[in-house]
Amino acid sequence: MNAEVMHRLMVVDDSNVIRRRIERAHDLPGIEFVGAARNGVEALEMHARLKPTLVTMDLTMPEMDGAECVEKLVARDPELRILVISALADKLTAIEAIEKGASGFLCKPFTDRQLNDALRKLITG
Amino acid sequence: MARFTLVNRAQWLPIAATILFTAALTALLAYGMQRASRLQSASAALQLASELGAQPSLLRSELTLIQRGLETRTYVGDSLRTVATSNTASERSFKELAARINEAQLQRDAAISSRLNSATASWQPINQQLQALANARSDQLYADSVSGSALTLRGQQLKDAVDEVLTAQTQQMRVLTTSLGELAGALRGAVVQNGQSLRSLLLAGTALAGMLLAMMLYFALRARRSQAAARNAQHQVENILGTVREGLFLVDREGVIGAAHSDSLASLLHCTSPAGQSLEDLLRPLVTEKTLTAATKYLGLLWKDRVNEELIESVNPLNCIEVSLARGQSGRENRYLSFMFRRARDAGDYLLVAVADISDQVLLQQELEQLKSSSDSQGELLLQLLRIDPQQLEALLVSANQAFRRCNALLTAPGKEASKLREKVNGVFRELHSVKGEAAALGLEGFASRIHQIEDILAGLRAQDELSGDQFVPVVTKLDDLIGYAASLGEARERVASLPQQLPGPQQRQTPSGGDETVPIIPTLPSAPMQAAALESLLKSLAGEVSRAYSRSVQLKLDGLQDVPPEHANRIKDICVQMVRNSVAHGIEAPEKRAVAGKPPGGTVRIKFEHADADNYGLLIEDDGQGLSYEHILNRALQLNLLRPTQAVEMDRAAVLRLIFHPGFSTAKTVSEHAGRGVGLDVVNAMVRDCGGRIGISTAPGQYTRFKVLLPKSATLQSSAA
Amino acid sequence: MALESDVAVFVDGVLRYFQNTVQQAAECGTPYLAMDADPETSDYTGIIRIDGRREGMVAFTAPKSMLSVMLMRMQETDMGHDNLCDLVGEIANTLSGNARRDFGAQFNISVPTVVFGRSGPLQYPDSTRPIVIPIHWRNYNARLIVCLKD
Repeated sequence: MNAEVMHRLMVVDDSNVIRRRIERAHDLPGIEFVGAARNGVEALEMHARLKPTLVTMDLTMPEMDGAECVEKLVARDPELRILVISALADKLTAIEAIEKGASGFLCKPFTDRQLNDALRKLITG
Repeated sequence: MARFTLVNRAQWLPIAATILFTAALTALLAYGMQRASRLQSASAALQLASELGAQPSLLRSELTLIQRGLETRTYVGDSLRTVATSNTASERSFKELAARINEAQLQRDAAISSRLNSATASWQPINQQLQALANARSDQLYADSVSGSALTLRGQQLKDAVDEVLTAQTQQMRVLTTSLGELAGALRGAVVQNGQSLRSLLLAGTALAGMLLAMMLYFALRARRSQAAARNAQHQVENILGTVREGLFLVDREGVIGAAHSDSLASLLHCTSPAGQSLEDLLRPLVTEKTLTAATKYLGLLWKDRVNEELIESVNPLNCIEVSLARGQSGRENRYLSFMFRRARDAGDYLLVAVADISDQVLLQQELEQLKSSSDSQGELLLQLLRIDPQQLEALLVSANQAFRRCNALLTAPGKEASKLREKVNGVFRELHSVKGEAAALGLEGFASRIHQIEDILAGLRAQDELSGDQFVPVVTKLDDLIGYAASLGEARERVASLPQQLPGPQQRQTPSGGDETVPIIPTLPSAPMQAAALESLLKSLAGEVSRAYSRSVQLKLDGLQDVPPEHANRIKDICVQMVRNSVAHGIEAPEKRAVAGKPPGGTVRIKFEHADADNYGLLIEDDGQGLSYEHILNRALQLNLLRPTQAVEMDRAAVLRLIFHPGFSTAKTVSEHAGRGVGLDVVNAMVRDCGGRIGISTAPGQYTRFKVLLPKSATLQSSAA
Repeated sequence: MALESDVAVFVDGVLRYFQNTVQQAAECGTPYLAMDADPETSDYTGIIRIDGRREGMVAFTAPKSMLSVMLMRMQETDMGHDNLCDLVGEIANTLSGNARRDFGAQFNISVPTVVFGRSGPLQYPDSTRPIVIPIHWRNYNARLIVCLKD
């Protein structure tokens, strides 16, 4: 198997239930959960402290929306891999998120397996 | 001599080399396919392992639910069932997992087999304990006493068992989760490795194919010396580029279309010379601004190295777009196009793009949709209504509204079992079918065809083995539409009523005195003779309409309808509507056939209402048509599985005739609005039985069919709301 | 698109939510029309409002007990009021997002609101009959209410 690369995962979502679910559901070796933010502003602040390498990002959030947050995070750290999670799955939304620097897209509602598959693609792809 | 061998070698070399390369390529592909099937098994195993990995935590939460349920003495049957089913499912998955691993030839991989063994070992005790739990019956857990509800012996045993599983097996479950996680990890590694080797195989194959191609090109170039061969080859290439239906072209970094493209591209995108134009400009007049924005951004993404192929493909905004193309002088035509993009930058800085016209698939789907929503405008409605007797219309709207409410009550009633759902289908069908008869008789095509659509859906549901609630969504939305339609009829009727009365129409007639003054009929409450007149005109217009639809010539003879008592008026109207329709559609033969049989070309349908005896009214419906055929009825019933062949042998003639009252029975070959769905007689039978009446049938082949309905005089009219 | 396919999008959305998120399928009963009175709501209701090609609203309403067991199936341990609101809002949110995907720009869909308790009547558009789709999961009953007007 691959050498154990540690990925540090940060979850950004305004829903408490979803934050906790992602925290529990991810089960890939080499991914460590480091923290969860409730909105874009908090995410930027926590990014500076926690230095994550992976982020899951909800698109519709109060304060600062997900797309803007993706752009700012990638500007700070071009290596950061971001999985955008949203129920707003029209193609323009997805294209814009990828354009802003997202590396993956996952539609709600998702199963644990879909989440893990998406995270795996994020770290291998 | 030397010259001869040279020529000979020049001929044989390309053939030998081609055979050699082709053989190598075939062998490589065969091996590749074998590897691919192993990869498939490995992926399946991986999926199973990941699914199994989620089980322990789900089981834990269910067990905790049972534990809490038992503590609070609440119903735990659901959780017990869930535990039992996920236990057996997991057991099955474990077996399949082992089988898949064998198929993928991974059983020799120490990392995989040791983890599979340890997972299986920790699963076995859990499985056994869970099986013991699964035997618990949820209805024997509590006993009620004065001091409250207490656990029975069984309940206590269950609780102990659950507590034990939760405490003793926690460690096992953790081991299980870990080893399954590790197994999934190992399998993932195997899948990745397999995938990589498959990829290298494919690369090797591609390289071989490339060499083959280069070699053939080389030989082809040499062969070009021969003029005839060159012309032939060129012809073939032109043929291919000219006949391929897809538009194939290249796009450069600036989004400009390259010079080489297939002929069909111009007609697909509806432009004269696509080469040299930018794709964005070509799309601009064809798609919405939002799609164009998405497409432009998408083209940009295709050039980014960072973004992976699969992700890119999944967000293609042009994989099904509707475009509007000018056709002819002023017409426009809508087409559906699908674009596919491949990054091929190694072969020059280009994107390879394919466009196909997928309109046929899309339009077929839409046609079905459109068929369902034909609507008549308010103007047409008004015109129709002017020709209809307002009292008949009022009566229709009242009984329709009641039928709609009964349909909705049927749908609202609880029950998700197959038998309940089937009852709902049949019930709604019956309710609506009577309304359809009346609407058709009044010539309200829009009304009748709306109901016909719902009946089509219900007939489709009736034919299915399995039913579920969501299949009723179209029924309820169509019912909603129908209710709205009936309401708009009511509004239109009020507008008609407020129109000045000078318009010519059935509401007016010449006075018998022959004067030129017209007298409007003032709507009054229907007195008995008025009601009879309304019923007679309803039946006559129905008979006329149905005989036109079936190209029959029919005379309707009515007798005694003025004696119909008000409590039976609606019922008799409904029965007559169904029976007249059945007689004309099934009974009366085509004029030519009647001539051959020595009958007058026009058939006769006779309806007679009378006081049959002291207790009963009699309603006689008789036609001089082809009669009922015992053989046809039996065959049909066997086809529909209404009875078994052994039963058919033992049946007497009267029992055979009674089969035509069975729900879903019909002897007509095609389904139309007027008959042929076999629900008519079913409805009649239900209506007659509801008020305690009876129906008798008599028939003579080639001569007549006669229905005699007896309705009680002192009717106990419990359900005669309609 | 006909009303039936619009309604089917929401029904599929709810059924998929159960299948994917709590990993246990829900069943739906036969849908019916609320002809005389507004449909009853349960303890928690998530609502989205729609305008555009059609206008109206879609609501998912469920009893507290059902939402608690759903949370439990999602391995959540905190079954407090906030998390219950959060879950029912999340379901409505997902329905709204799925609808946006399937309907594209034809609809504008609001951010979901959550109503607690059976007190507040929902706002239905005038002269419409809400379609009620019973959703059965384990032995709990929830309802999806769809009310769209052309």
